[in-house]
Amino acid sequence: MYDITVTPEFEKWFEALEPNAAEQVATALEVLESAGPALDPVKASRYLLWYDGVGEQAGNGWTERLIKLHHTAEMARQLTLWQKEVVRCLESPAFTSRLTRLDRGAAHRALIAIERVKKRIHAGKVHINLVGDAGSLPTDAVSVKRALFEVLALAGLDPDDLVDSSSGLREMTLEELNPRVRLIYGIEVPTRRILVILGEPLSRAFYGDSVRLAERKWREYTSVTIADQRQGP
Amino acid sequence: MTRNWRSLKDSKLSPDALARVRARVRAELEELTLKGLRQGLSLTQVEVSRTASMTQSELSRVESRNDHLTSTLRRYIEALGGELEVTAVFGGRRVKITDA
Repeated sequence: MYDITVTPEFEKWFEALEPNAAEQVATALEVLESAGPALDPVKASRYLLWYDGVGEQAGNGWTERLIKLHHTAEMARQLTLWQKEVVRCLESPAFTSRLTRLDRGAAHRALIAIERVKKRIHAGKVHINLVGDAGSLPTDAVSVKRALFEVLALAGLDPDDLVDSSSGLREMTLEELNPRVRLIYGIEVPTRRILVILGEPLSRAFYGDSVRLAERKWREYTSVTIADQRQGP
Repeated sequence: MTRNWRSLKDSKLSPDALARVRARVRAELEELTLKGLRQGLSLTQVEVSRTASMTQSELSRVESRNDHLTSTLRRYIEALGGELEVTAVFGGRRVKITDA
């Protein structure tokens, strides 16, 4: 279990939420409290959204096109996050060390499986570029995830062995709310502490102010916690 | 000044809403993968693979797969001490498939 605290900015935002949204946000944070860094990269991304490029400013006749654009952007986001996760896992010391210890046959199978992951990523990109329709939203990212887990299994590794245990800022997107909502939080893995910095609807095109605020708040928080640790109990 | 999340949540949400949140969290955390099911029973891969007559590497592959032969899934569940049932749901009607 992680210990969660929130900033005054998040508190004010959460207090003003309508009941259903507050329940959804509470559910997401309760899951985070249990899972900590073990949430998958689509649920908790290390890459903070600065620029949406879409926003929610639907004018006359643009609604349907914008919805399609949103779905395409979401497909691309999920695929990109899994692609980054693939690179992180396959470049991790645990994976490379395991790969070098595999016998020739097993290593060959693992390398073929890695090629399969690369093909899935490429196919996903082609699919998004060519089709980008709303009907198959999670398919590409899910197939990359499956292919990655297959590689890890061939190397005798469990995805839990490669959980991203680095501390830092993360963002979580709540897709079930309309407009979508994101929570930006910082996680300190060694001390098992989480600071939820802000929540906001994804209804703009540019979020630089939010990201800068989150980075400043996280810097302040970590400088205090580091000072606390130096002082000791 | 930061605030504890629990106190904020408890002050904002009604008891009914808190109960619904707890139920959703439970459902989300308990939407178990095979691995989650095994870990929930505090069994290691080595222990289950021995009972299921699989190598640990085979068992690891089973846990990471999203598509299973029913026979493999049955072996796995039985090695956990459970019993596999396959049920088809048609609206409100549930039919247990006996030859799966």
